[in-house]
Amino acid sequence: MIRVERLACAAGKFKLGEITLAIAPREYFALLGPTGCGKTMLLECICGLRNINQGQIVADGKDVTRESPELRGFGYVPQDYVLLPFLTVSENILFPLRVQRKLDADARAHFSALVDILRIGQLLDRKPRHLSGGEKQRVALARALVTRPKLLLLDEPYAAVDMALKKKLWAEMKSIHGRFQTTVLHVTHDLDEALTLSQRAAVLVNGQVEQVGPMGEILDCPATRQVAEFIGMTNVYRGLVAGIDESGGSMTIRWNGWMLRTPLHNRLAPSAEVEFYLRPDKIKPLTTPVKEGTGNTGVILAIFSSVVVQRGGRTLFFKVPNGADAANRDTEDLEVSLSNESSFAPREGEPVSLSVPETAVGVFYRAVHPVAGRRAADCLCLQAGRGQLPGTARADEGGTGETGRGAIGAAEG
Amino acid sequence: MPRTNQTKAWFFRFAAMSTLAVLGVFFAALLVSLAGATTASKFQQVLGRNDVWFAVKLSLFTATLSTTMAVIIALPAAYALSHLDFPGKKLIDTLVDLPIVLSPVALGAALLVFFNTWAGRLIEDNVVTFVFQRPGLVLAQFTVVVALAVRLLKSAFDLVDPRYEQVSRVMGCTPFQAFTRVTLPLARPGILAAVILTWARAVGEFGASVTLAGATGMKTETLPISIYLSFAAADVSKAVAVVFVLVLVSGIALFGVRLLSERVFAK
Repeated sequence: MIRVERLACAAGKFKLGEITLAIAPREYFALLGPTGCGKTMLLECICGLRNINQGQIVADGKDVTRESPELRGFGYVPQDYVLLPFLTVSENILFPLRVQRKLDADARAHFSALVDILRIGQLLDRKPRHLSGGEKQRVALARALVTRPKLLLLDEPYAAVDMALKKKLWAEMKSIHGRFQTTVLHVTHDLDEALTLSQRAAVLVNGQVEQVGPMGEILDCPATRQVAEFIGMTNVYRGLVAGIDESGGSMTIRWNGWMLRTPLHNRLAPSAEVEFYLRPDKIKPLTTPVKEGTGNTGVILAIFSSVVVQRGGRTLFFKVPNGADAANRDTEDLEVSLSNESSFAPREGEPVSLSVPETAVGVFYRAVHPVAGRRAADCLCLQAGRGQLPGTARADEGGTGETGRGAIGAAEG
Repeated sequence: MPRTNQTKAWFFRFAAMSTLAVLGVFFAALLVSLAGATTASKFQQVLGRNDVWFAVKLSLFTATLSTTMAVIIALPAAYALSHLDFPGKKLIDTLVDLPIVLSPVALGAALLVFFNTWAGRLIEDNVVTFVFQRPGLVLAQFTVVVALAVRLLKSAFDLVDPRYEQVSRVMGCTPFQAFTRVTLPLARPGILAAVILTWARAVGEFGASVTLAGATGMKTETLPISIYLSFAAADVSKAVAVVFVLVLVSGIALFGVRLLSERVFAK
């Protein structure tokens, strides 16, 4: 188990933390975030390459905060691999064993196993300058794994390889993790990479952990506006709680004159301001138009403005006028994703009725203040239809409820 | 390209090449005039003289010794200036450069003054006698070249990305292992070039040596001092022969540096 508790670090004007994370033994954990959010800095703090201002790093129950990097027993694959150019591939891989004086028969057997699994046998006598990006990545991975580290730290290891090779390497990494069961902390800004490889992930924005949980949950139920923006969600708005239906387990949000229904959040009072998002893939165009100001909950009128065609579907851009006051010229931008099967093709400027079901509306639960005496993690997830606490992993996401809850507790901390 | 632009480009190229040609002609003229001051038979005859061979051997020996001492001191100092952060780094970096810009005669005078103090006399009486003795040559050369060695070695370490050392720490290297097993091999071509240039500078050192060790034939007579003594005695043939020996030594050293530099940049 690797625990990072209340870690804080500063470099110039940039401040990281306080960060609290817990990575379970043998877990594949991704650290996500946009460029410049402090991911690499956090990794360097954990490695011991950077002095921290406060906090604690615990590995297998031992406090390693003040230990030198060489005593922590971690493996590290930096983004640029940093293979020693004056050594051959085999010398590079064996380098950590040589400096640690652990090059025995068992270590050699492990080296051979790694060489076989990573298919780098034909590269052993080459110098790093004669390797391709993918080959360098494999060699750096073998070098990091050869000492059987307590924790494998990967810093954007696939950033320099093309997409086709990347997918192959992801599959390879999955099989290596399955075989060696190493605890992994993988830094990336690639959502697909984290979704493919990790059991859980943390989203770091501006030096702060915004959300911890299984990737599916982060994508379905972003905890804050920052997470939503990072995962590419643009339909983020502010509204007011217009009504609460406790028996039906739902509440109504008034947004720009339109009424939207979302699952009940028991910590919100009527008229409370709420920040929420609309999932573009859950919004559907209606064939029957709706009139402005009718007050139909879950139905809005929007003016079509443009379309972007992508692989697998289209994104339609709308302007949403005020639903209660036609004279009000304030409009909100809205994106709607349609699959290729949909033949819906409005003309520019055409008013379109859109159905916004409960499943399309989500409230940022981290933006809501917890009720006294209750942890935020104990409050229900507002993503419609989930009926589950954020951070509690589902069986199909590969994690355990315990670690999921711990992680959210950590994120709140 | 329009005709006027072509003319301008040709003129610029011609101007740049002309200055190079002037420089080449200038130095060639110096060598030719030197060669004209002696004959092949005289040259051979002078090269066979004991005092010339004494100067060659003394120069090579003292330069090698002073360079070895300078590199031993300069290597960790240059590493500290290049890869470590500490208070007063900029000030120390500037101070290290001072001996490079100071006249060697001034350095020699400073050494001479030092050995006239009580501390200097204590060393002279109990450890080694430097003033007007051969150890004085080594000390004078060391004083002049050590700063140059620090500067050149620092440049060699500056070329090594500190990431190599950092990552090697995570791989299990102690700070000393990271230095010896990672940084030193990475900086090796630059270090070799620095050593050669330092040595060549030590071979050619005159000002500090003559001030501290004096110019005594067959005693403190290095190659530059030999040239000085030869001219003082109006022995132009010997002076010219020794100048050519110095040119040869320096030429070989610079050629070695060029080869090593190409290796660094081809990496």
